[in-house]
Amino acid sequence: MSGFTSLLEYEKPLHAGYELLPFRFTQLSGDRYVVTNLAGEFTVLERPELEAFAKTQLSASDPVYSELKSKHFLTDGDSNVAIDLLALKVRTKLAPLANFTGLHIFVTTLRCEHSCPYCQVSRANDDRREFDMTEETASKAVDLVFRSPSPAIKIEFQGGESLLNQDIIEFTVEEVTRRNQQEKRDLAFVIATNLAVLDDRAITFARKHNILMSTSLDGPADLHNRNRPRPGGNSYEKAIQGIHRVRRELGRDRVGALMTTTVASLGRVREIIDEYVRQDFDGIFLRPLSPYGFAIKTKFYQSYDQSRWLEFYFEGLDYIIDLNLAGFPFLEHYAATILRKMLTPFQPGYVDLISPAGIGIGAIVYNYDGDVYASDESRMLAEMGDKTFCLGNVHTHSYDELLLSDNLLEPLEASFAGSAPMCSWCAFEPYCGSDPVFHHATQKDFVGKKPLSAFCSRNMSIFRGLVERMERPGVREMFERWAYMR
Amino acid sequence: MSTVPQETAGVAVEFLLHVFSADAVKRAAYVLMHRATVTFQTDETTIRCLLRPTDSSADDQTLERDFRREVLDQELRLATEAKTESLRNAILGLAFSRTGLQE
Repeated sequence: MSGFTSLLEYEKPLHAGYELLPFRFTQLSGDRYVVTNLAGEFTVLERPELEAFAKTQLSASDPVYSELKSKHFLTDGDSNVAIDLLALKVRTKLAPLANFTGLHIFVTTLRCEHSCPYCQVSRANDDRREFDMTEETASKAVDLVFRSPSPAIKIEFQGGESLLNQDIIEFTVEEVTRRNQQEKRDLAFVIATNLAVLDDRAITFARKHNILMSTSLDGPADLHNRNRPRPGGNSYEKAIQGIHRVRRELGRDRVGALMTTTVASLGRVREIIDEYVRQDFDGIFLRPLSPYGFAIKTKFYQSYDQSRWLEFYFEGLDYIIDLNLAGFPFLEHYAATILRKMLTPFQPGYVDLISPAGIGIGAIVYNYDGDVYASDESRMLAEMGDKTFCLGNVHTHSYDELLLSDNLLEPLEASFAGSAPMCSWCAFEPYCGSDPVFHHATQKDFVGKKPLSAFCSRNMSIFRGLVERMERPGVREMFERWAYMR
Repeated sequence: MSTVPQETAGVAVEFLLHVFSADAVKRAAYVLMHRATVTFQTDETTIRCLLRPTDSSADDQTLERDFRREVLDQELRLATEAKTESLRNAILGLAFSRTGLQE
């Protein structure tokens, strides 16, 4: 008759010690460290715990041992599946890379009737038709769109003010839709517009093709109109009218909004969030200025430093957390993107926070003149005279020539965070990106010296800030809800 | 490790090479490049670092403390990287297997 072996046999694996699985650590504050594994699972350890763990001196009875084991920081004789599970998690995180380019941006025109001093695109006056995309260019770009193996294709129309060249939006949407009867991709269309020139024609067309509108809303009327001048000084009124009209005629969820932080926004983050709440948005994306286009020419980019923006960001984030804890659900989108990377098996497609970089792989831009760029920021840089990330032109280059261009492959390879100095040993690397365009723009180097990088210091501060806030009562649960929202 | 007398502006810090690797010290200097320019001198037993703050109002003691701490952290990182390198390669190899991405 068979029976259980003695208790001693069951305890043997616990006394046999453990083996470290690959991990990285970074100081959180004081003696506390964030520790992450290859798949981005994390925990926080005190320095003595970290040292004992790293030197394989941790006892199996130590409270942190089970957590480290369950999150695949160590493996012991009790189980032999840790390596397989960790590999599966890494594979799941990286799976979207195989889909290749999902976001295709068409710059329909550089013309714009706004004259925002922080514009990252370097707009043209609204009577200059030489800055409009033609049907021939759009058709060639559509050929390239369908060369991407991605099962989901999102076409985003940008400007200038994209609706000033409505003919090309309609041509492109109809051409893509027609070709997709054979291709059977999961299609989505977005028009990025300030909504000031929204008319019946645009609304009717958007309804027919289920097109989403993405607009700009910088905050309350005085701030928005100061940031976004246009003839009549009524950018805010036009945007709000447009938002209401799109919701009324297309549906509540068919319009989204983005804000940009100027020096005039600092100190007003609560008012800006209140404006988004008042306009019935589910969340806000608190965005800093980018070092491109008019933002550089007008010195807007240099108008505040990183520490002031971080104060603005965290005041806003804490205000939003308080709103949620008081029972009002509201999201900060940048935090939610990072939390999705930290707390779920999924990899959001946000181009700035991917390594290998999202340029070309995550998004590609077809400019009004047929030039193809590796990202939106790449074409912004080109408008300043730097065509480092121009991959070619739809009229003269094939898909293979564009996507295997040295202008794409070299920055992708050079900037890979897993092998970049400081990134390669940083605990936050699984959540971060490499952003070769930003580092080229600011340091003339695809990799960039991270201790001098505003991209690095901003993201490190936000990663730390999110981990610290998760330790407050109720916040971890709230962040998990944000992480799983799409 | 010990602090040695200053010969020029900045703070000088020595590390014994049988305790700390040159790689750990170099990594620490890289991490703190926004706060100090570091020059190195070595002999058979020690590596001597002269930390010149990039900001003249920076506190030397704080800089020295943070540099020493970073060297300690980097030493621990190098040790754990060496211990886990083969597993790391195995896990990444397994994760990328059958993707058609490897030659």
